[in-house]
Amino acid sequence: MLGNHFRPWGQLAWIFNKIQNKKWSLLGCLSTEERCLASFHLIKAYDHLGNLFFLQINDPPSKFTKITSEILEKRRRDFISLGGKTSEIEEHELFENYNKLVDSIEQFIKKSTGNIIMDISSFPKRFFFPIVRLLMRSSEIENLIITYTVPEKYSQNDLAEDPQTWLPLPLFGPQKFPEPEVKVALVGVGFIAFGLPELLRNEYSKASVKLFFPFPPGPPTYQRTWEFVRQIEKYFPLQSSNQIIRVGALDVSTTFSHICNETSDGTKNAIFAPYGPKPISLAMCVYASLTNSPVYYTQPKTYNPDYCTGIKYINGIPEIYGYSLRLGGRNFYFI
Amino acid sequence: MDIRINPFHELYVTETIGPDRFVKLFSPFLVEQTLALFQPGNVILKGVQGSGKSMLLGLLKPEIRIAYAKANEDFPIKGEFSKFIGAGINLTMCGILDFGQRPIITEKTDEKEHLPIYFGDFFNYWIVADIINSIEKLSNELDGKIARELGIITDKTRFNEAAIALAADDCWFGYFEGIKDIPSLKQRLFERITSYRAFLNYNKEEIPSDIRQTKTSVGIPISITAQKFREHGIVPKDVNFYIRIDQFEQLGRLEGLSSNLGPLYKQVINKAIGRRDSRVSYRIGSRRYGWRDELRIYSTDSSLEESRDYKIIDLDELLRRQESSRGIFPAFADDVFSRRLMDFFPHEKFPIKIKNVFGSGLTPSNLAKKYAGTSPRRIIQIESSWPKPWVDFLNNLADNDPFCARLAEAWPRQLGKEKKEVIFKITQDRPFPWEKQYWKKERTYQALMQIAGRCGERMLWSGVDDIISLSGGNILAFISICQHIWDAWLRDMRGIEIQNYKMPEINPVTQAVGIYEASAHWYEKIAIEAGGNERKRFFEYIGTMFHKRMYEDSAMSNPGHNGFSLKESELSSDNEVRRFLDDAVDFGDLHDAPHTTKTKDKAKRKKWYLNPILSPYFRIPVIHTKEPMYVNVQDVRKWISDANATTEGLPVKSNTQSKKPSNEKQLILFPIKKNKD
Repeated sequence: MLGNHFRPWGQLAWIFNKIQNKKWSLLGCLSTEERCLASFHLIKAYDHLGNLFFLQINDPPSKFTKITSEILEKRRRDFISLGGKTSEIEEHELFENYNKLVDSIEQFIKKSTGNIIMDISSFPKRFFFPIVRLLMRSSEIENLIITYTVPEKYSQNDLAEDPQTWLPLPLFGPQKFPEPEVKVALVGVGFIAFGLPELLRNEYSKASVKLFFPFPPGPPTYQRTWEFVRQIEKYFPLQSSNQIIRVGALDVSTTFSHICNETSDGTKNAIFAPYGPKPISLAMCVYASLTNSPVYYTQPKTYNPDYCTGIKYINGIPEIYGYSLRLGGRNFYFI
Repeated sequence: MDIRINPFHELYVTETIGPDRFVKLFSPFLVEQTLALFQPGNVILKGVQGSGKSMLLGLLKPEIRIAYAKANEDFPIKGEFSKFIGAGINLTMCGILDFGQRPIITEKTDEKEHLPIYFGDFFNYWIVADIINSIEKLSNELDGKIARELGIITDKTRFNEAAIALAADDCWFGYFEGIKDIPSLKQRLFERITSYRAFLNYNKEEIPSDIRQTKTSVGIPISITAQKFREHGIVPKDVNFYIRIDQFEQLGRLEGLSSNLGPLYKQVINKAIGRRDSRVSYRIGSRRYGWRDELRIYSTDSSLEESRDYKIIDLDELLRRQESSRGIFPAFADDVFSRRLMDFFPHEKFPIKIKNVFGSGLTPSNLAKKYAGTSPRRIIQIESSWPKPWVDFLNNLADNDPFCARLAEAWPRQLGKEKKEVIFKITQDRPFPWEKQYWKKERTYQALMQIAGRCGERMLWSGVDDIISLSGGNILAFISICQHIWDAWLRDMRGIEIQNYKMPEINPVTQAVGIYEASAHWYEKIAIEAGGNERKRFFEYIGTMFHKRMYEDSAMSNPGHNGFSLKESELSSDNEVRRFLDDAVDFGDLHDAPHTTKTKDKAKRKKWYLNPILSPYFRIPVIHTKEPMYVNVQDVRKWISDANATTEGLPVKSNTQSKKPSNEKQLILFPIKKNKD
């Protein structure tokens, strides 16, 4: 019944029960967030760890620099106490030229077991988008799972500051020329609509704008997400309630199906603005990678070191979700 | 049209709202003031966000002209000025800024020597492609009506001959070899741009050798294209080519660019402008200070010079109220306002003035009574040393005319023996001494602010004058205020039948609600721009400081302390502070102006005020009267630092650190009581 649209995802522990005896190469991001090591912990507990590669992404200097460094130092100690080595952490700058990232990922793929788990939980979008694209593109990878850990809570303060101007995310710039008319602009609804109305107004106001609203957001998040919609509404009046599409905040597969639906299976040109929960952004990333669609973002310059805290648990099991993009060489996401 | 729809919901007027709506909403008011944009010669159009830059530059796009023709309306640019073809590039959206992100590995020498050349080459190809696109659009839409008006002839033979001649020019270094017609020329242009983009997005291993070996010099192919199209009779000699460059200022701001590449790329564009080539003219929209950062011309010792290489049109200067006059903004705003309402009230007689809907607002006297409510005596503060007759006089005055009472209370607190004597020689004759025209006028808003504060009331803003003042010469701010007021009015009307097609007269209290919401919205939206969080913290700091100082100034000696003034010489010696203030002005959060100093040294000074629309949020007067705070650059540095408003925090330089604002002399009326602890 599921036909070609079966895209296995669920708790990582559940996925591991289905895929036995594999050693996985884990690609993660060492950050101030506690959840950045959750996947590492679980994979190790299941004794499925092949090798490790963590990126530590340094924000430009800010008022948070001191506290961020202190938390990162602690996180580094946690990483080592879990069995990681300092040599398995590579430092990158948030706004570095992206050729450095591409080189690092290509090296990682070469050294990997061919089974890769990438944990996107703590990666800035400027990094996780190009990495997922490079991994999807690689024919050397037999199995590819993306993981995401739900935090216990988000900070009540601003999560990020100082957005940069509208730019395509690395490797997601427009390619075709002349650019085909964009029919659909798909926006993930997040907490702060940094400059988004400006982009829609200036460049894409002929496009049909659809907002992917994570649902159910649950308090206190719902106030922020509706505020995001309100900010857009103020500059870019929404014409119909159909422009808001409720999607499960953790459901990459259904979000991907919605995208396919909105683009008539890739026949309508789309652009993406991936605000909001990372699993929804992941669906956009996968679709944009498959169709060479542009993805625009106002990358914040600074992240709040208290962005989120803790790890959410269900019945004593950490909420770590795994999304299978490729298993046994078979791609689950395609147009 | 549904009267419950907000006519100001669309804040922006661009070609994307559809031809019919565009031509109805677009106000041609500014065209007359900016005619240099439609004449040959390079032009820099300066202005903050919302000043109308994009709207004006939009007139250069073929889509706009087509929109007018489709709606059967006259194009707002008339006669000789309308003879142009526009083409352009948006630097942040086209992908050109990715040069530098990926090494061009086949080059052995320093990347920085090559990248500006690739940047210029991409720029050339993009513009040439857009010139052809514009000519084709003008020729194809509406059966070529606009092309015929301009005298553009694109019959197949002639167009192909022009393509062959263009392709054969030396400026391309042989890249177009074998081109036989326009389609093949276009195809080759597209291939080059697509190759660049594919390479920069890591979808191509390297830049193909036929591109590497045929890099062009910035500007030249663009001029040659214009020349060939003229020579072959495609475009008449009297039709000008205007090239728009959007997002130019971002070259100086992008974090993603390798160090020094942004300025180098600016120099490349300067090179195209500096050619002073009569075949094409460039049009750059820039924020106030975005333009002046880098004027050097790439790979030369020269720099661009104003008047010689380009003209500047400063929209902010044009639209903001001058000290001596209200300027042209009120009439512009009236025109925009009227156009917005036309569709919604078909039975009304147009034009409609702002005053027809929002009225003149409340007089100071009525405002004071409103704030004072049923306990007017709370608006005055009595000094214990004042004699009882004077206190009784003030109380009685407050009961009848609280505004006048507040002025009276301030009068004896001012410097001057004569003023202090008033408390012993009470007069009942009007006008009272504190009703002298200029003294009163300069203190009206400070008095009202203090009365509102003493009564625990929010300041009420309403009426055409307040709305125009709060807009600060920015049409986006004006429409935003109207939008919020209209929203507030629609909320008031919930459940009440609105008389169809009758223009409302919105009461001052509803207006005040909308205006405060607009102000709060503008304050919140500071953070969504680059560097906005830092600036927002700074404005919170100085806005609160202005409010406190003006509120506590019982003598109303400093009604102009809602702004500050710095010596230009000091500012130019502190690049960090200058850059911070320039950025704030660029984003429209601060307004600056030259300041005619009253000090003996007569040093050149500049003054800064918060964007007027933020005044309701910070509860400070909007009027710029009397002297602003005289401060030195260390004071500003300290404010920035105290507000935690910079990335790394601007350290206060210890050798020149000032502990008090340098205008401390002005506070001499309020001696600080020092504790002896």
